[in-house]
Order: sequence, then structure tokens, then C-alpha cells
Amino acid sequence: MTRAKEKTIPIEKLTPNMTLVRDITKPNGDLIFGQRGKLTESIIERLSRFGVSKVSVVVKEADEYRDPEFTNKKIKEIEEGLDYRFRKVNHIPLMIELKGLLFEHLKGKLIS
Amino acid sequence: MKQDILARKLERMSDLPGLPSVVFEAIHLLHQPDITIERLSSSIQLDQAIVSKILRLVNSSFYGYQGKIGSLSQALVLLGFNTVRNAILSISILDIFSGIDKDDSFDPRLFWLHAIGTGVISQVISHQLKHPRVEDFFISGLLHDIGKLAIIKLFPEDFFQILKEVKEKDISIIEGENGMLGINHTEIGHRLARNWMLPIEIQEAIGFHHYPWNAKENRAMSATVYLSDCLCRALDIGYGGDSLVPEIDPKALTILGVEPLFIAGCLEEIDLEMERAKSFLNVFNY
Repeated sequence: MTRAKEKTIPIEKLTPNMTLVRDITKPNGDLIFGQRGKLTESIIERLSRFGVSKVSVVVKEADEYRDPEFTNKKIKEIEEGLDYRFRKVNHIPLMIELKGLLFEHLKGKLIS
Repeated sequence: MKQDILARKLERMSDLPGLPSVVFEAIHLLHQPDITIERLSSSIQLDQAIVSKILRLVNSSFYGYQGKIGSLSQALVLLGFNTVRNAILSISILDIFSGIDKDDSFDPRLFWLHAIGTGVISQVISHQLKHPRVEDFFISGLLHDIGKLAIIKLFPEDFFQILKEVKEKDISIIEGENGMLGINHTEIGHRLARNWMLPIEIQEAIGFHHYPWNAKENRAMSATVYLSDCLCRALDIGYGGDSLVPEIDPKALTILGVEPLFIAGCLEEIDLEMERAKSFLNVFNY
């Protein structure tokens, strides 16, 4: 079971697994992060680097029980799968960044 | 491969079945400003095999009207001309490439899953960027690799040899195609899309999905399909012929006007839409 509610909160109160309600854009209109995107720790840190102060989010609170050993095994599989698929681009900064973002998302799906 | 052999092989492109005339009719009629639902319906009704497949597809959970659409006119009213046109295109092209057997090195279901994944991701990116015709982005992603299917149909032995080399040398499928055929699926797909007279922006997305900055008509659509293809591989959705994530050229992000972080903001919606899109394959018994 998962409960969800919408809130507008300052960036320092954001936590992983919150989902964005509205787009975040740069002053020139470029899209930084779109609505329905799910937050992770590194995304929150990067948003603060863009000077974002407040955002509207949906907070999901999970209360399901999960076996930590099973979860850790799955997280390792995710990491190994990404390392394998990214094996030829592991030295390129943009691709390292993308791999990190995907890892956090896939991990978040397991533990949320 | 020597150029003369290649030229002879490419002549066999005409061996591929053409699109049914109803598809051309539908695309042509849709460009007429005074088109009515009655006129379009009566034109498509001439091909009953297509009509029954359209109804199966539009009643799948992919479109969200499960079992509620009883006629072509109703589909046109509820879904709009463009969506029905895209349904007709998808149906006809999946039909042309049906009958490819599963093999140890090639599973058509995984191929179509990669195609649908790329379509879904293209749709989500265009939705996030507030594009008014997201379904056109879906169809471009869905069809981006038809060149590979043309290679399988026309030169099956070469294709399986390419797959073998791709595995042995740990190279991308496009490198394998260039090495063995001297041409790759983007160029073959582009020719096929031109022969079929698909809308120009879809032709471009098929032809330039590895180098979208060369597109002229709709660079954003080609860049979206390029990025979606890369993401689909990164997320391990289906199989596009190799297990590599290609390098994303920042030029594509510049064309779209997005930061790399934008991609992370699309992932939740991609997960949701992928679940829905799987019904698309079920309609075609894949």
C-alpha cells in the first residue's frame, strides 16, 4: 500500500521518491526537469545547483515490507547490468552522469 | 561487399511488399483541409482486413478505450484522424514484417519491444516538451529500425552473419552492417520510408536516428528518436541487435533544448507508459 499527497516545499526539505507536479525550467525556457519526474538524492543536489528554491511535489510514503537481502541482490543486478551495457562509454562524463541517474531511478523503484 | 553486389542486392528492395493502397489513401486524405469523417471512413472501409485490425488495436488498453469502440467512424471521432492514421501505418508495417521466425540470435518479439520502447520514450519526451502531436513521435520511434527488418527479409544470411560478428567482436549492429554490407539500416530504412511515401518527418526520423543534426524538416523529432533509442538500450527494453549503449552526442540535447537531468525527469512516465504499451504487441500476437 502506498499513500500519496501533493505539497509545495523548499528545496532543502525535498527527499528521494517525491514526484514533481510542475516543470522546472531555466530563465531561458530550457527544461531542467519535467513534471511527473521522480526525485533522487543526486537530482535534488543538482536542482539546488540550478538555484531552484521551491518545488511542488507528490510525496509517496511506502509502507510495504521488503526483504533487505533480496533488495540488495536486486540492486547489485541493476548495477552490473548498467555496467555491462555502458561498458564502451564508461569514460564519457555525460554517459557516466546518465548511468548514475538511471541507477538511482531503478534502485528507487525497488525500494519505494 | 563490392559495390555492384550491393547495388544488385538493393534492387531487391522492390521485392518487399508495398503498403496497402488504403494507407496511401488515408495519408493523402488526411492532408486535405476539408476531409470529413464519412469520406475517410468510406475510403478505409474498402479494406476490411485493416478495419478489423484497427478496431482490435484501438480497443486495446494502449489507447484506453478497452472494448468501447465499435466502428471506424467512432474511432475517428474519439481518437482523431492522426491517431487512426498512425494505427493504420503501424498495422500495415507490422503485417509486412510478420512471419520472421524466432532464432537463437534473433527474437522478433524483443525486436518489436525495442521498437515500442523507443516509440514510448519518444512520446514521453515530446509530451514533457509540450509537443502537440505526441503520437507522431510514438510512430517515428516505433518505425525507426524498419531498415533492420528490411535487411532480415532481403538478406537473411547476411543479417545472421552480422549478428554473429556483432557478438564476437563486441561491436554495435550499425558497425556490423557497415562492415558487411557497406550500408546500414538507417540508409535502407530511409529508402524504404521514401518508397512508401511516409510523412517526411517520419522518413527523416528513420533515416537520421543516428545523426539527427542532419535532419532538415523536423530536427527535434529525429533528435527525440535518437535519444529514445539510446535510452531504450540503457534501460534494457527489448533488443536492438547489440547490447551496447551508444554515446549520446550533446548536440542532440541542444537541439531539444534540455539539460541531461531532463532525462531523469522522464523515467517515471516512461515506466507507466511502457506498461500500457505492451498491449500493443499483444494485439499483433507477438
